[in-house]
This record gives sequence, C-alpha cells and structure tokens, in this order.
Amino acid sequence: MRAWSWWVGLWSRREAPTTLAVLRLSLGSLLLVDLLMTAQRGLVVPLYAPLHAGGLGDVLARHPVQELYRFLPATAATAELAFWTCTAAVACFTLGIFPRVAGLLALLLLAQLALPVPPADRGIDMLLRDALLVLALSRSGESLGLGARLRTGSWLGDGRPVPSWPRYLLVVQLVLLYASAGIQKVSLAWLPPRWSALYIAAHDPAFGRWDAVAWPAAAWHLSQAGTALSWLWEWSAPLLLLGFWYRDTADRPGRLRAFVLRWHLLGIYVGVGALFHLGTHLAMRLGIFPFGVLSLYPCFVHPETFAALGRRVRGPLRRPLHRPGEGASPVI
Amino acid sequence: MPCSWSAMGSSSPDAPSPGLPARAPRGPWPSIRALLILGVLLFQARLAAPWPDLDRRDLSYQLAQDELDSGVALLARLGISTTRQALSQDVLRLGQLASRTKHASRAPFGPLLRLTGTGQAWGLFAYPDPYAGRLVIAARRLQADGSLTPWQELYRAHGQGEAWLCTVLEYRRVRGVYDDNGDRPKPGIFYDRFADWIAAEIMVREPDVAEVQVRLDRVTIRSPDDARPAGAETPGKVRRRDRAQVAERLALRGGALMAVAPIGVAP
Repeated sequence: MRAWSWWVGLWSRREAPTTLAVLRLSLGSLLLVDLLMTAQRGLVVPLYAPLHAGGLGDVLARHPVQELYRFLPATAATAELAFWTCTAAVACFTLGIFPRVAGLLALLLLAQLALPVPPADRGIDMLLRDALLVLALSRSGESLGLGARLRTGSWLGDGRPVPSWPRYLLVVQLVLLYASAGIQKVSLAWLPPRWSALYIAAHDPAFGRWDAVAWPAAAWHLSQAGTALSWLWEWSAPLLLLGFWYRDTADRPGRLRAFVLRWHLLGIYVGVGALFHLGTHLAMRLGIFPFGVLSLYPCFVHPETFAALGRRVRGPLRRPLHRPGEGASPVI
Repeated sequence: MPCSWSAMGSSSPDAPSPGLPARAPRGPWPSIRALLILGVLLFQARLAAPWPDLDRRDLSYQLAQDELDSGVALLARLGISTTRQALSQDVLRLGQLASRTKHASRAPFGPLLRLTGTGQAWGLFAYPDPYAGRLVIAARRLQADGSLTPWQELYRAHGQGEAWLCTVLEYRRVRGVYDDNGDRPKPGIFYDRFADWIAAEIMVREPDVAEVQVRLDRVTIRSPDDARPAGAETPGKVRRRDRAQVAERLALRGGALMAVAPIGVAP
C-alpha cells in the first residue's frame, strides 16, 4: 500500500512548465526541419502518394487501406494536402498555438505519412512520434509560446506548475530506447575481443562519412573503445532511473547515494550520451537520428535548472524565467 | 542552491528541494492516472523487449551464417557440441515462438499503435553488416549515329556523382528504400519501384539517357583484426530500365513524367 501511494504521488507531481516547453520547441523544430527537407527534395509525391499517382507505395493494395486514402481520393493532391497540413500542424505545435490539438493532428498525419512506404520510415521517426504523443498530452504550451504570450502577456507564461508526468515518461522512453538497443547488441562485432561494430558501421557506404578513407591504426583502436563504451553505456541505461531515485531522495543516508550525487554521475552519464550522439554524427551519416534523440535530452533537466540558467543569463535584477508556483513538487 | 546542468535539479545531498511538497492527490483521478501509466509502461516495456523475430530468409543471409558459425565455435569452447544446421534450427524455433509472442502482445492495441504510428523497436545497429551494399547508378546515352555510349556512372555511394542525385539518394528516407543493411536484407518490391522512379527522374532531366542501371555492389568490410581477404566489390541486385520500360510503367502517372517516352516517339 505504501508503494502504491508512492507511485500515485510520483505521477501526481507538478513543476514549472519550462522543460516541457523547451522539449516542445526542440522536438517541433526538428520535425519541421525534417518535413521541409523532404519537400525541398521533391519527395512528397514519391514517398506519400499512391503508386498510380507517382508514389513508391501501393497503398490501395493493402488491407485495410490506410485511413487517409480510405476517406479521401487516392491522388497525389491528397498526399500533398496531408503533408502540408501536417507541416502546418507541426509549426503550430512548435510555436505553442493550440499545441495539444496541433500536436495530436500532427501525430495522426505523421502516422499516415509513414504507411505508404514503410522502409522510408525509420526508427527515429517512431521515437519522435512517441515523444510527440506524450507532449501533445502535456501542458507544454504553458510557456515559451504564442499561446502563453496571448494568455498571460508574457512569453514565459504565468509560471503555474503543470503535471510532471510527461517529462518522467520521456525519461523512461529514453531509458527503454537505450536499454532495449543494448540488449539486442549480441552480435560478436559488439563483443570482446573484436569490438568492431562501429568500425564496420562507419565503413558501410550507406552510412559511413569516411568509409572511403584509409583509417590510421589509432582510429581503429578508437572505434573499438567507442564500441565498448557505447555497449556498456546502453546496457547500463536503467541505472539512470537509480540516479533519479537518488536525486529524489537526496536527504536519505547511504554512501553510494552520496557518491553518485557528489560526483554528479547522472549529469556525467547524460553528457557522455550527448557526446556519443555527436561523435556518431561526425563518423557516420545517420540523418536526423543524433539530433532527434538529442532533441529529447532536455527531459533530463529539471525546470529549476532552466530557471537558474535564465536568471544567470538575464541578470539578478530581471524577472526570473519562471516563478516556482504553488503546488510545485520535489524535483527529480 | 546553485542549479547546474549536471545537477539537473537538486543533486547535492544537503540541498533542499526548490519546490514545495507534492500536492496531495485528491479524488480518484490520481490513482486512475497512476494505474493507466503503469499499464502503459508495462505494455511499452513488453514491446521494447528484444524478441528475436527471425525466419529462414533472415538466416540465409551471409551475416547470419557468419554469426551462426561464430555461435557454434563459442558453444564448442563452452563444451557444447553442435552444428550450424542444428543451431539454426534452434534459433528458428526460438524466433517463431518470439514472433508469436510479440504479435500476440501487440494485438489488443494494434489498431491504436498503427493509427498513432507509435511503438518500441530499437536495434540501433544491432548487427553491423560487413556485407554492405554500395548504390551505383549508371546510364547509357544515345549517340548521334543511333548507338549507345558505354555505361557512365552518374552516382556512386557515397557522395560521388551528380549533385542532385547525391542530395536525393542520400536523404535518409530515400536511403531506407534501397539500403540492404543486415537487418533488412531484402529490398524487394520497393527496390524495383525505386529503380523505376529514379530512372524516370534521370530521363526527365537528361533526355539523351536511353538506359539506366541501378545496382547495389557488394562491399565486404573487414576490420583490421580480421585476416580474411575482403575481395573486390561485386555488382549485385542489378536493375536496368530503358526509356520504353519507364514510359510504359509510368504512363498512368501523368504530368511531367509522361514526358518519358521512347526516344524518337512524341511524348
């Protein structure tokens, strides 16, 4: 019963909306850029229209036919309409204009656009849709958006606390992502003594940025170290939750807790993850993957940290980034 | 208390929380919400579980054969004697069981997952492919005397060739249609359509192109600790499209692509 009370209390917590708003901005901007890149390359019809209208996917041959082409004519114009409506919805979501409705609309349309050519929809797209669903259900529009500005007269909103659970869910999502990916890495290329996975991936002509260049011996050993580190890092992802637990119970005794907190191991762990993604971007061409995952990293940052950063940037005499309001919860 | 990035909130053991105590849950909603979240987390964790969903076609791939050989050797070192054939049968049985379990666990929420395009399936280069494919696109042009030029490469992965082809072909969504990375060794029907499409795009831009060849050259990647020879790149999955084929296949699509007709025939 005590555990259940703790569980209910955990998901009932509230905090300033800053982190959720930053997540809305980072995720929305990334989705917007990706959609515009698709349009700029002239790929809207090939990727999203039916086969007979110039697309690569035979959407009418599948059962059931996807909703977009069940309720609207199966033409290139429908694909264009869905794509640009989706883009507009993502823009509204990002700017904080009815972000919940816009987010849900964008989610449904992104899901429809993923169906005509399944191989063109990558893992990162599903991760971003997962996050979009969570943020669309959150109150991320209470700060750093047009809606907040119009409602409260301030871009920062009125600072009233909002539910924390969407941020917590995104933390769990990233832990699931890394832990699941780590457990699947049982190929011998990921294991000692080879540790050749990153070397092989970086030499794949579809992904490697420097695949045609002869690597010096040091780069090979560096890739082995990177392979071992990323494997270990992904396997240990569930420890992030332990770190959050320690942070939440910082007033309790325990040498391990004190060690983890004193040496900021949670922050170091997240920092290594960010460097890992930036490093893979330098070595490989992974599209939006590194930036897509990094766009969710603000979930690790408590709103109070953003507030402190804001105070530091804006100076002590200016208004704080947010005012911790009534009902704000202990931080994790 | 100074809040730093690494702190991400109160991390110092003696630091007080900057907020006030949690609002006491009122009414049934907090419990319902906590129950819903528990259900969602359990379901998502089940989706994210690494089910080895394999079939015979997966195991016929060279990378899988290498892994099976390595597995046999590893088991032998542990004192378990087996063969590649026996191990592949065991893996297939496990794969079939995993596939059934995975689909059964998805089933109740399948329509919702499809409608929202959400789920959990994260490999992230679980099986880096040492037998990768290099996309090469070549063309033959019609000469004044009616003969065709030898094949000329228009694109070679990565980054070599015409700028517009590099921009389009290396975009991640397009790459997903043709790349044959280890976990998806069968480009199949989308690869054929991709060949139709890119051939048409090339012929629209370059009217003297009479035939386009799309292929994935097999590249063997050997790490420095692997003494086996890599060998030369070999052409694979070759698809050829001439103007007549492209015009016929795209005739229904209308618009600019209708311009792709056999040379000498009015579009």
